[in-house]
Amino acid sequence: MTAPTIKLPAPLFARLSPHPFLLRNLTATAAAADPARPPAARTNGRGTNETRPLHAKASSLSHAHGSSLVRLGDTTVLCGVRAELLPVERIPLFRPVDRVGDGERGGGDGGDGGDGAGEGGRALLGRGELRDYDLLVPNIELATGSAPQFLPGVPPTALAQTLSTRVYSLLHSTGLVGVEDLRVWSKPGSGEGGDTEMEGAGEAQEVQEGVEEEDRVVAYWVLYIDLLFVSFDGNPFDAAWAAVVAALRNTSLPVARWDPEREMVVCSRTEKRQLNVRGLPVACTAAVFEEKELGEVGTGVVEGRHWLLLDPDRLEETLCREAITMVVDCSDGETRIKSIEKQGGTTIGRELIRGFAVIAEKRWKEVQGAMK
Amino acid sequence: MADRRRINGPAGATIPPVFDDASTRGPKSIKSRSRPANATRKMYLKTGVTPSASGSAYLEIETSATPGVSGLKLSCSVHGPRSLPRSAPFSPHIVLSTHVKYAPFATKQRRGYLRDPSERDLGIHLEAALRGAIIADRWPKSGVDIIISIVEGDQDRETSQLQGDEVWDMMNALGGCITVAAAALADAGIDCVDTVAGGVAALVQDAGEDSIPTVVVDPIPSEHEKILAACCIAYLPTRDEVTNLWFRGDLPASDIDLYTNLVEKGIQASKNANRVLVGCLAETIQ
Amino acid sequence: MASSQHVLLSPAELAYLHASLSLTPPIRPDGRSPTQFRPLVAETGILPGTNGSARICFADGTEAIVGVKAEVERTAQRPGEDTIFLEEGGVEGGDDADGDGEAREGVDKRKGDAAWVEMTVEIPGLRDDDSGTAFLSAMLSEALLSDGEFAKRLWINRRFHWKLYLDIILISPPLSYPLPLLSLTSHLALLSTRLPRLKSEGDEDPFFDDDWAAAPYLYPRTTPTTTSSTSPTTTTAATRPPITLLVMAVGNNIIFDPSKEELTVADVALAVSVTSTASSTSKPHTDNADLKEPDTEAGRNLRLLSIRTIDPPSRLTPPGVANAANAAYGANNGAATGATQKMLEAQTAETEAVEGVWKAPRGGAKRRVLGALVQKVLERGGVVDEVLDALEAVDLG
Repeated sequence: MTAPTIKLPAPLFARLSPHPFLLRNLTATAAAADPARPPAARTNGRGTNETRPLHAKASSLSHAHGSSLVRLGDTTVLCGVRAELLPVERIPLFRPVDRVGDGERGGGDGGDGGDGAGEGGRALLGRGELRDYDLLVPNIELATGSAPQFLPGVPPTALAQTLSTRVYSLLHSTGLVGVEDLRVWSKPGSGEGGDTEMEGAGEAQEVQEGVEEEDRVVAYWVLYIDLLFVSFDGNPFDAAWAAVVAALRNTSLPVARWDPEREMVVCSRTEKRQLNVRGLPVACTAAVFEEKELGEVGTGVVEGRHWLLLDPDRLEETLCREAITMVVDCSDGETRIKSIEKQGGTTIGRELIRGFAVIAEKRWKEVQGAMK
Repeated sequence: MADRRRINGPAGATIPPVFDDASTRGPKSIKSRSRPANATRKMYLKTGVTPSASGSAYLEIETSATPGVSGLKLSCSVHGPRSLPRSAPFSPHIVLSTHVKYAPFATKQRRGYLRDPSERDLGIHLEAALRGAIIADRWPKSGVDIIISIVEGDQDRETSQLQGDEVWDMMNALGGCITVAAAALADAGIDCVDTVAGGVAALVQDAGEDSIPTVVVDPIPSEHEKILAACCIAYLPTRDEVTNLWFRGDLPASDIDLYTNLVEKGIQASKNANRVLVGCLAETIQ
Repeated sequence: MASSQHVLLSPAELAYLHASLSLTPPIRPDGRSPTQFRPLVAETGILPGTNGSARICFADGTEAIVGVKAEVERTAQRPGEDTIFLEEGGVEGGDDADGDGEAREGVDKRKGDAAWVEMTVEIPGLRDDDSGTAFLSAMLSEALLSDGEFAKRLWINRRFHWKLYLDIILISPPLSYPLPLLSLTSHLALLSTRLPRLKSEGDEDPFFDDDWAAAPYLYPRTTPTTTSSTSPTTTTAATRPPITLLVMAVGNNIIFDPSKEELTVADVALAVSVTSTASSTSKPHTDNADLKEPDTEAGRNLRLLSIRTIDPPSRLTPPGVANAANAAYGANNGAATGATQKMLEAQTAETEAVEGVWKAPRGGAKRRVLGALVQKVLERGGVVDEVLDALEAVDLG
């Protein structure tokens, strides 16, 4: 007597017992003799090392200074960068900026050559300002109904808080934005870095006003980077980070000058300056799916097989407890690993991480293509 | 007290950039209306933008001909019908909860993360508009969440100062919210008596203080010198019924025709929006 | 929200109430005529520490207190603007040496002059950030500010203005939808509000007469003989603060000031805010309208300020079951099986209403009904006039 077989449609099966469902899909090759069966793949039809294509669209908003819309499969993130001014009087414990790194400016704007020489010291110094004065403010909003578990009216979930913090620390550690772009000097033209088109106008004004007052930083731009998840289907960090990078690359700040009469910073409506974004760090996330179900796995040695699922979707994320995120930047020809983060589990070892770097590198190329 | 669950930025308050307007334009320059008085702007509506939700829709209203004026962009997701939590009291009808929130970068002023009173107010208007349309008794003991993110508000970026336009902007936003929510509800398969759509009409005075006011549909505050009154209407075309009416302004009570005319134009605008809505839904079915 | 608190009425009671209210003339449970208000007790000047205050107690036991406090506040000058820019400037902003400081204070409330009025509504049992409270408060402040004239009364000079704090507190539990009560109480409080008489001139720091008896009313009561020093325009005299009325329709009947039970069976409910201005020349754009109505000489010049649909709680009431579909009454002689029974029930639920069986209304309000409601409110010599007359009789002490 054969056991009665129940035929369930795939989506229902996936809901009822997701773990066996994914496992059976991944182990489908074991029964490859049957040609009717599809080859081993994830439930979403992708191979284990296959990512969803990333689409990035810049400048979709008009009220923000920079914006982007990134789609990663069914995950859609909207990012808006909004700049506001922070006068130095408002900064507790403000240290006047040490001009050592900017020494070459005194001799009439050293230009690119001078910039290069001062790069090291200035970047280091700048990092301190960025962090000490909190000039970058990323926040992630998941509670937009982007997925059934993210409903509004509650404080940010642990996931939203974690994501915001991760973006925040990565923004600082990668040095994506330099503080020299965010400083507003009391004399026009002196804060523009290597931006040559501004120099002419700036210097002309400088001559008019004379040089009796010392050039100083009067304000900083604060970048409010707000991310809104329109739709959520796994892998939020990769999508969010791509959106942040795309939006920052799209950001241009109005040219600001100090108005000594009104004692305030005034911005030009017509002139804008592109924000310099250093490099193109790309995040690449994979989740580790274990043969044994989450509940059964002890804290000790991992038993059974495991799969590395690149770019996990919502279903897969709920079934995996171990994940790795690597941020790489190959924009200067060499692959530089900007950060490696791994949460939970014990599966990923040295070999896997090494192998993952190659995967991340491949991902970088894909994303770079999409960002163009 | 600072919200510890978010990244708050610098301790000192920041100020939005102040533009030096002298070079570009006068303090108040009015662009004239680029459309006939009874023409609405083009809108683009699409359902199914949030696959993880039961239903969703995205609405974009065309930016007007003048550059720099952004159109309204709304994203709506519907979750449900789903069972109410055990703690909730029995309800013979579906429990509707609406949530309208501006994105922090949606308007000239950066918005906070918590809903302000005007956003709550919009939520209530939306609830009233939708409750009339939904056949609520088909889902006892269940609830549905309707969440709208206003990705971009309907404001002129160039006008540096507000001219008390915010209230009129709110009305435009509400009109869009109603239409997009109706599309998302249909996408979620929730039964409605009819497709409800929002429309806005305003009584404007374009040529100085003494001119005779005219009624226009789908007003953009920056295109008019003065808006005397406006109304936003949620209208069910096949039943010829109004589920929500919001009027605001200053009209002489002795002249009821002026008011009636305004409401009629609001209904006309709503009918226009409804055509787009029905077209979009028909497209989805195919 | 506040309008939809559950009323514990059975479907049969609802059906009865609905039927009696749709008769011509309607029969209201408390025997009032359709346009009659509940009796109320009103007094003003109850809070000596305020600039104006009022208390109203409705016969059904609901009671509200409104206090108006005014403070002098520096008007933030918008940087880069020649004209005075109407926005709230925090007092603390003035300490800042830089001009940016003041600008920042206004950032959060860039509502122009609307920010000069701060209204809080407190309903027992509801949180401050409850949507119902937000709705009530938005409705009341909308009525107050929508003509744009009110904020002008708060103008002192180019550098200072009055900041008005309007605290509306319902001190009884919300036994009925509190909108009319709160509106009438704020009306009285504003009517009794006096601001100290200004003694300084021009744009200097303002100082005031400490003689309270000399303090002019915010809304001058008599003809514009006392040219209000706080108001730059003298054309707004004898204007009254707005009142917001709750009107509902059942069938073709229009019923004013519905009680909680009556509101439960409403087909449509509207909150209509009106005000009265005595001078017909205050607003040029009304000229053409006034020409049509030459009989405004003594009467009020009513103005429509705002209308909002109130979501009627009737949509949330439980439906009744018709006898024909109810097995307990031996429908179909008990022969119906479960399946057909279900079908029948579904049919009844979906088809036309059965006489005497309550069914929550679906859809919206007919256009015609809405129009009639508004027209009835704005009628000359109608309910609004009656209410305003009644309130005028209240001693402003």
